[in-house]
Formats: sequence, structure tokens, C-alpha cells
Amino acid sequence: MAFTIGSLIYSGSIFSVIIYLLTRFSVKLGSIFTTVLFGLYVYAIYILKDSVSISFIHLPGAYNLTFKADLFNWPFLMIGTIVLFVSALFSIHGLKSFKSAASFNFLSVLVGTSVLGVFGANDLLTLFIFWELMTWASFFLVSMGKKEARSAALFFLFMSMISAYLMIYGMFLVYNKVGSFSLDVIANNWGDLSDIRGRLFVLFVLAGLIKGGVWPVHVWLRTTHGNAPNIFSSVLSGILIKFGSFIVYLFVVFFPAFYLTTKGVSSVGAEKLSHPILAYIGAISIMIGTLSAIRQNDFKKLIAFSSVSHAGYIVLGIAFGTGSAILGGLSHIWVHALTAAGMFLSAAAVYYVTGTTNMDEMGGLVRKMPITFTTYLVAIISVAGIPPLAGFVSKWLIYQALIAKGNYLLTFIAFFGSVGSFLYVFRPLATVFLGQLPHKYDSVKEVPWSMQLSMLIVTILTIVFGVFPSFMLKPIIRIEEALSIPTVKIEGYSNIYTMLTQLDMFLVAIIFGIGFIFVTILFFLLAKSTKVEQYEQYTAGEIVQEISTTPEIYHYSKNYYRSFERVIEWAPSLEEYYRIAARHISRFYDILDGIIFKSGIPMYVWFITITILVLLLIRW
Amino acid sequence: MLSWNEFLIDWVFVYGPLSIFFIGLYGLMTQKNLLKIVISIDIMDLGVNLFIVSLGYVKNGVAPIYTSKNLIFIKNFVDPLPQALVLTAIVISVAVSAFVLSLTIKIYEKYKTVDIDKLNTLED
Amino acid sequence: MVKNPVLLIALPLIIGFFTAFISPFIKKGYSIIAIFTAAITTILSSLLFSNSGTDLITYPIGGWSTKYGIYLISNIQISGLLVLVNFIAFLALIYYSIKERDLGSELGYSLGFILSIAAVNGLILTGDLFNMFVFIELLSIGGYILATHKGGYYSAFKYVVLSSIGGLFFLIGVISIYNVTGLLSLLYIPKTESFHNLPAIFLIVLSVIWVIGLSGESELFPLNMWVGSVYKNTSTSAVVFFASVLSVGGIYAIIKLLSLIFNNGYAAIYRYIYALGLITLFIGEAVAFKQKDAKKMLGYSSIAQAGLIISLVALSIKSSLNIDLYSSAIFQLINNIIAKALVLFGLGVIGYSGFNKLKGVGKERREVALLLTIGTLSLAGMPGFAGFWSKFYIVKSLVSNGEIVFLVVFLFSALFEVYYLLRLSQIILFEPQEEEVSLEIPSIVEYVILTMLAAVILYIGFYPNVIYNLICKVGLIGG
Repeated sequence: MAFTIGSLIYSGSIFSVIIYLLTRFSVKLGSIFTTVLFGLYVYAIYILKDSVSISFIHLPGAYNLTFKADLFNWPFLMIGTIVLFVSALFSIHGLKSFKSAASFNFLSVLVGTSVLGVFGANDLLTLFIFWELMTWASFFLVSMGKKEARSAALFFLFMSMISAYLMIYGMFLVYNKVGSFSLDVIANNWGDLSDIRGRLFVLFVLAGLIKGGVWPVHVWLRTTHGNAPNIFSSVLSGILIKFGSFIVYLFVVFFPAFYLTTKGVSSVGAEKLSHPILAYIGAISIMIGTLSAIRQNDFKKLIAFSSVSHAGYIVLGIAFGTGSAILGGLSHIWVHALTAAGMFLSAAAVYYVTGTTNMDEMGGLVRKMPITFTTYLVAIISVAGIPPLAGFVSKWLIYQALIAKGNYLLTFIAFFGSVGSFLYVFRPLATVFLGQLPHKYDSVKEVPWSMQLSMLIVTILTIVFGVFPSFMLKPIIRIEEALSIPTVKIEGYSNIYTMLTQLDMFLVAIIFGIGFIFVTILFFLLAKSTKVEQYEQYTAGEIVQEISTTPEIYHYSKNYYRSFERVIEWAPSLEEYYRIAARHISRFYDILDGIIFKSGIPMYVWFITITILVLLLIRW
Repeated sequence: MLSWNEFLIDWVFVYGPLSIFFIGLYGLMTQKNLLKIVISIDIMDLGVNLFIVSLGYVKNGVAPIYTSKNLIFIKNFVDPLPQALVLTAIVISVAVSAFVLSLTIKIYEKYKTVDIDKLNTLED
Repeated sequence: MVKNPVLLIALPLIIGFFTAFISPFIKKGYSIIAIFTAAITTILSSLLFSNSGTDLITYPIGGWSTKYGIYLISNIQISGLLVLVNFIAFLALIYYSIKERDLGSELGYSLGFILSIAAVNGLILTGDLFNMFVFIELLSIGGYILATHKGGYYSAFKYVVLSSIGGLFFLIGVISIYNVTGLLSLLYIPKTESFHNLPAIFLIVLSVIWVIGLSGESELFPLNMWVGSVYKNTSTSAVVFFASVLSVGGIYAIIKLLSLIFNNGYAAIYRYIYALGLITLFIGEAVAFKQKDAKKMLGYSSIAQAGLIISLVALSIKSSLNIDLYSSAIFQLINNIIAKALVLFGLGVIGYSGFNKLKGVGKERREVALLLTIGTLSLAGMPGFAGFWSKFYIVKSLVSNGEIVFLVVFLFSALFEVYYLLRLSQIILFEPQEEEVSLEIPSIVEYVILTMLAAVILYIGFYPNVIYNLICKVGLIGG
């Protein structure tokens, strides 16, 4: 059966309505249908692996929506559909107590089609249309979340619209110049666009950075991810912010390299592709994301800031420009999609049984929820870039590139981000899963099978991509070869050769496995642990009730990283500046309203007279 | 030396109506009483209507009466069209005045005041 | 006989006149007469539409030559707009008849509606300046009546005052151009020798005075201060009339003046109108952003859209007529009135417009809330809905003409527009209920009205070029 992106989107838009009706009838049935649909997407994209598939949806008039699946966007499509599938699988039971499940599934399918539409677009117009579709669909999805979700959704909308409007301007700039929206035409004419290339680059890359959650336009991530419905957070962080990375990839790597390749350049080196400013922005993003994540007390907000830091890695990799860096950056998209999905899904699973994402209120859940714990553990090991998991591979490639070029500042920041990652992702591990179990959770059970299954899929993929990195790297190396970017070599399933050194991930995995087994044996043989009640604490003679505090402040996760926070708490928050700007704009608008519309008739007449005089007396 | 005709055209036909218009405008800008506002609008109307009529003026012109019984070919008649137009304009302004006065009565019945500052706080 | 559009004006006037006379004998059912009138004008305008081409055709009244006498003009764009406007008026009257008939004197308000229909049709069709003035005044009088529908007398008073000032300005402009050219015909004035010899400053003052004179009806700055309070304080059917019927008359009158009289590259003029439009756009969106009442918010949004449309048209006559800019303006006008009518009807069906009352009503009126959301999404210019394409064409024409300042102002204000429109949907759909509200059960007719408008929006959303190429790609070229 031959699938095309066009037919998949068609079926998606038809099924969205069917799924809406089905979900109103039965939530489970609707979610199963969604899962099947997204499963079909995964399958269809997988079998498109080695082919070039062009398709279109006909709109009467001058414009058709054109789609293309080829080696250049296949990795994006693949990882996108995998994350969609996993989160849909999770939602079979996860939507149980959700109020507007029907709308949730309906909008999820729209988001799913927009993932295909953005990554599979063959022209900028199609890309833009699905980008906007995603914006309004996810605006409503985010609005369904917690209490603060409404204002978070509006902030998300505002930032998304800024990026959309930057894009629409850029889109027509190109159109004016080359007379087409088609990506192929733009790539072929990239060299002739020299007079508008600077503007285009700024417009699209800025749009991509906003969507990708990169400093200094990352401010929407914390509130949006923190308050969105738990299942949707995984899609939002796993895929939707990758739209931004995709745009950056198109304009930083794809167009210039493709153009040079068609002009017969045999090797497109870093000097053609590197953008130092962008790389440093990525580096700052790594720092800011890491430091801010350490300060968060909410499980999901913490993961949101980790997304900022990882978006920084992706941008740093792509913008650094050497083959190995680009490979690292693009494969980090895969890695982060999976780990973000893993982390947010385990957060959703924890929320499912405990009803909170506040870390102070949890603890010791490892005994009740081993699968969730494993998912989270694997995800954070991958996030921290510790072998043998996928996160190590992509970060290792980026380090290699940075060291090979001798850029030690960026190398330091990249390492710092890694270490910092482990600091902040360890906190939920310790406070949510380890430690003592509060009594109110004595009766909780592991989540239902569909949720376990979806988390297992993520975990297994993270391990497989780590141990056998060729599954992840081969499709990307294929892109680089087609764009004649000198790249790393890969042999077998696990041997990576870079300019500096060689790495066999399988070997690494075996060594780590042996170490793990050894330590486990030691642990069971030698460890002597005492079980204590959570609130059995020393209070220096005071009785808890008498000093009128809640027991939660005795939770050992309270002020977990106080010492670190003390070091960085002087730092101003960018969010605060955005808030001040918003307040000023809002006040200005209030003043306009008050002066012009709320005053009485005499004032109106003054205004009319002044307007006429101004219009007539100022010589334009 | 200002001739009578120039005086007539400039000061009576143009600046005169315009100054009436601006008196009305001044009233709108300064008065807080609904009835005075209505009157100000009527004054502005008057100014514009006078201006229109005066535009039809032709020096030494006669009335443009031209019927089948009275087929005298007159070269020098005043322009009849502005006069016809001004009739329409007057009718319209009378209708609007009537309407706005009845509105004022309604406002007074509802809020017991015709002061703009008070009304602004009462009806948003 | 059917082909002559004069019936579109004469028929409502005749019906209105006789309705007033039969009122001593019949006590009820005037709203039916109004619906009947709107139905007939809709049919007549569709007939006119089906017989129209892209050429501007003149219809002299009473056999006078079009140079000196009164005449009507029409082409496919004008007749298409007429169909739309009359149809929305028809829907509004049905709504009036089933829900708001007892709000005030049925005779009075039915007459007001009928009068407004005649005035809008006349304003869109007429080719004569003084005639235009009469229709503007007629339109305002219709509007004055409608503004009092729910007892908002003071807001109606503001409207009357501002609109009368506008009428006077317009009249001064009309009489001045008559004084120098001796003509009142829109088509012939620009052809006269004396018009070409006019100094630029005269034309600038003239165009500014005309646009400001019409700014009351078309909701442009500076005579639009009445909009917010009138929208808030009148009934749903009347608000729909204001937003989607009456304002179209005003806006199209400005479009006609600009594109028929100043279409031959009076570059000095466009900047003034353009600046006025952009100021209106910015102020409208900024103030709408701050509102806490949905109807008021949509009123200010209408203001902003009027500003956008007028500045696009002003820009399109910068040199000779730029059809891309012009048609994107017309397309925006069409999409805006359909979507705005849908949202306003939806709010009417829900029965509340204050944000605190609207919170969470979507949970009880799911279908209405979803249909209303189609309207807000279209107004916000989201893909899949009609509004996306008008935004698309506007940006396209602006970029291709290098109008970056305009583009920045437009997109900056559009940011806030999207924000407040989707916030409305969010409040209705997702906010938890705060106050106890009592909702009436909507009748099937109300659902039909909402569904029809939503269907039109979705249709244009997927087949934009059907409308765009047919109606919008047609300029008004002097015959």
C-alpha cells in the first residue's frame, strides 16, 4: 500500500471528526482509534524510508498544499509520529478522568496532522498553514489544563503568533523574489537571494527560536509546559518545539548546503554553514535552562526548563556547522523527543495516581510504580548524557565537534549543561520515586497497561538508540552525505568514527552493563538500610503542631538545592522583564481607552478637531 | 479698497456661515448639557446651510424661473441646485433634531439628568 | 425590470411607508413585514448579481443623462456585496422576529430595520454625490433608531451627535466640489477640466473632509467614539446590523469616493487617508484588547477592521489602481462581516456578553460555543477558515508592494487581535463558571442561522478563490 503525506493528512482530518464523535460515545474507544491512526502514521512513515514521495492536496485556485517525504525530512517525520503514537497510547487510560476528552482527542488528531504537515511540507505556504493549525489546536489543548493553564495558553498563543507573523513576512519576501513558495525552488535559488537573505535568515530563525524555546524567547515554556494537560505536555515538548528546530535546520543547513551541492561543490565545510552568534545563543540557552531548572519546585516546570537547555544543544549543534556537530544537533532532536516524552509521560503517570506534580508532596513511589520509575530513570540518564543511552551519543558528537574546532568556551558550557542536567533531573528521581512513601499514597498502584506500554516503548527506544546508534544516526548521515557535508563514519550498528576518535557504543554498553550488575550485587549483599517514617524527624524539642507548620516542610526535598539557589538567586529573571513590558503595554492601552472612548462628547469634538487640524497642517 | 461685492462674497457668504459653524463647534466643545449640545448642532447645521445657499449666488442674478409658459431665455440666473439641495438638508436636520430631542427626553426620564459628566458614569 | 437595482432602494422605502399607514389597523406582525422586505431585497440583489459582469454599469433614474441626473452604478462586486449584506440583514431580522420582537415597539424598530436596508442598498449603489449624502443621513437615522433598541439612549445620543457632525462635513465637501466642477456625478467629476486644474491642497482637504465625514458610519477614527457603548447597549439583531450591514455601507461609500474620484494617481492624497486608517487600526485593536465585554470588544474590533480596509484602499490608489491591494481589502471586508455576524449571533443566542457571565457557558451550550469559535478563529485569521485567506492576501499584497511600515503595524495589531478573540473562545469554552447564569434553550432557527454562517466561513476557508476571483478581483473603474 502506498501512503503519501497527503493521503495521511486527508485521513487524519476525516478521522478527527469520527474520533470526536466516538470519544463522546466512549473515551476509551476514541483513544484507541487515535492510537490506531497514529500507529498507521508510524507505519506509513517507516515504509517511506527509502523513497521520495510527493503528494498534494488540491485547493481550488492558485495554491495547492504540496507535501514531500524524502530523506531530508524523514527523520523528523519518523520521530514525530513515534511520539504522537506513544502519547496516544498513553491516553487510552490516561484520559479517564479528563473532562473534555472528546475535544482533546479531536484536537490531538489535528495536532498530529499538523506534525505531518509541517515536517512533510514541500512549500512554505503548506508549512505555514499547518504551523498555524498547530498553534490554534494546541492553544485549546493547553487551555484544558490546570487552573493557570488559561493564561499560560494565551501567552503561548501570543509568542506563537509572533513567530507565525515573522514567518508569513519571510514567506512572502521569498515569494516575491522567486515567484514560488516551493522549498526546492528556494533551495535552488538560495544563492541568488543575496539581497534578502539576511532578512530571511533573521525572520525565519527567530521564528524557529521562539517556537523552539531557545533563550531569550523561551519564556513561554515554563508556564505552558507546566500547566498543559499532562499527556499533551509530552507532545508539546517532544514534537511541537521541534518545529522550531526544523525551521532552523532548513535555513541554517538545508538551503545553503543544498544550493552549494547543486552548484557542484563537493564538500560543504563548516565555514559555509557555521553561525557563531546562533551557536552562542544556543550555549546561553543551555546555561539559562540548566540554572533555571535547578530552581523549580514543580516536576513539569523543571522538565520545561530542561527543554530550554536541550533546545540550546540542538541549536548549538546545528549552528556550529561541522558535520559532526550537525549530526549531533539533529540526532539530539530524536534524543530529546524521546526523553521529553519519557519524562513528561512519567510525570503524567505520577499525576495520574497522586493528583499532583508538586515534588514536596511525594516520595518513595518506586515501590509502587516500578515501570514509571524505570522510564524516568532511563530518560534522565539519557538527558544527562551518560552512556550507554541515546543522550550520550548526540552530546558526544557535539563535544567532539567543539573540541575538534578548539572552541573550549562552548565545550565548557556544553559539559556544564550536562552536569547541571544531572543535578536537576536527579531531584525528581530522589524526591518523587526514592525516599519515604507518604501514607496517603499507601494504596496507589502502578498505572494501567496502556500507559505502561507506552512508557516501555520510549524506554526501549532510548536504550536501543544508545546501544546501537546507527538506527538513529544513519538517516541523518544520509542527509549530510546528500548535502555533501563531510561527516562521521559509522560501521555496523554501533561503531562511530569521528575525526578525533572512535567509539563503539555496544562495547560501552557491555562495560556499563557489567558495572551495573556488579554494583547491584554489591548493593544487595552489603547495603544495610533502615526504614524510617517520612515525618519522623528531629525537631529540636518542638512539637510540629505547636510551631504551627505543615509536615511538608520536613520533606527532605524542600529546598533541595538551596545551596545552589543561593548562588544564583541574585540573577534577574527574563520572565519578569517580559511581564513588565506587558504591563506597560497594557497600561498604555488602558490610557488610550480612557482618553479616547470613555470621555464625553465635548472631548470627542476636541479630538475630531485636533485630528483634522493635524492631518491638514502636517505636510507629509 | 474693499468693494461691496468682494465684501459680500468673502465676508457674508463665506466667513459669515463659517463663523456660525464654528460657534456651533465651540458649543459642542464646551457645553455639558445635552440640550445645549443639540442646539449647538443646529447652529452648525445653520452655518452649513447658509454656506450652501450663498454658493449659488451670482452677481445681479435673477430667480431661475423657467416654465413652458414663461420661455424667457435668461442668461444670468442664480444656481438653483444648491437651493434645492439645501431644502433636503434642512428636512434631514429637522428630522434629526426631532429625534435627538426625543432622545434627550428619554434620557431624562431614565436617568433624571441631562449632564454629560453624570451620564458618563451612569451609562458605559 | 428586475435588472434595475432601483427596486432595492425603492421597495423597502415603499413598504416602510405603507407599513406606517396600516399601523392603526394592524397591531402585530410588523417583524414579518421586515423579514419579507429583506427576503425580497436578497432575491433582487441575487438576480442583479447573476446578471452582473465585471464592467461598471450605470442605471439612470428617470431618464436623465448620467452626467447631470441621479443614477445607480453596479458591477459584480457591488451586487455581490449587496447579496451578502441583504442576506445578513435577512438573518438578523429572523433573529429579531423570534427573539427580540418584544424589546421595544415592534412597529418602530421594524421600520428602523427596513429603513436601514434601503439606506445601505442606496449607499452602495448610488453614483451621485448628493444622493450619497441623503443615504448617509438615512443610514444614520436608521442607525439611531436601532441604537436605542435596548434602552441605551445616551449611547444613541453620542452616535447622533457624532454622526450629525460627520454629515455636515460631508455636505460641505459635496457642495465645494459642486461649486468648482458644477457636477455631482461620481463618474464625471474626475473627467472635467476644472477638476484636473484643482490645486493639490484643495483635493487633500476635500478627501480628508469626506473620509472624516463618513467616519461616523464606517466606524473610522475620529468619529467612532460611539461604537463601543452602542454595541454594548443595544440588542443582538441591531448589533449585527451595525457590524455587518450599516458599517459596510459607510466603508463602501469611502471606497467608492476614493476609487472613483481619486483614482488617477493623486499621490498627495493617499497618505492622509492611509495614516487615518492605520491610526484607527492600531487604536481599535489596542482598545478592544482591554475590554471586558464581548460585544464592546467586537465593536472595537470592527473599528480596527474598518481602519485596515480603508488604509488598504487608500494605498491601492497611490498610483493607478493596484488591484491586489484593493481586492485584499474587499476580501477582508467580506470575511469580516460574515464572521462578525456569526460571533455576534452566537453571543446573542447565549444571551450574555460580559466576560464574567460568559465564563464556562460553553459547557452547557456546547454547539453554540463551537460555532461561535469558528467565527472567532476566522476573525483571528487561522487556517481552515475564511479569515486566513484575507490575512494571506493582505500580507501578500503588502509585501509585494514593499509597504513594510503598514505590514508591521498590521501584524503588530493582529497579534493583539488574535489574543483577545481566542481569549473570548477560551472564556466560553474552558473557564470554570463563576456566576449563576440562566440560559434560554435556543430554538432550531437560531441553530440554522449560526450553522449557515459557519458553513459559509468554512466554505470560503477551503475554496477562497471562488469569492476572491469573482468579486474581489474587480476594481471600480470609472465608466
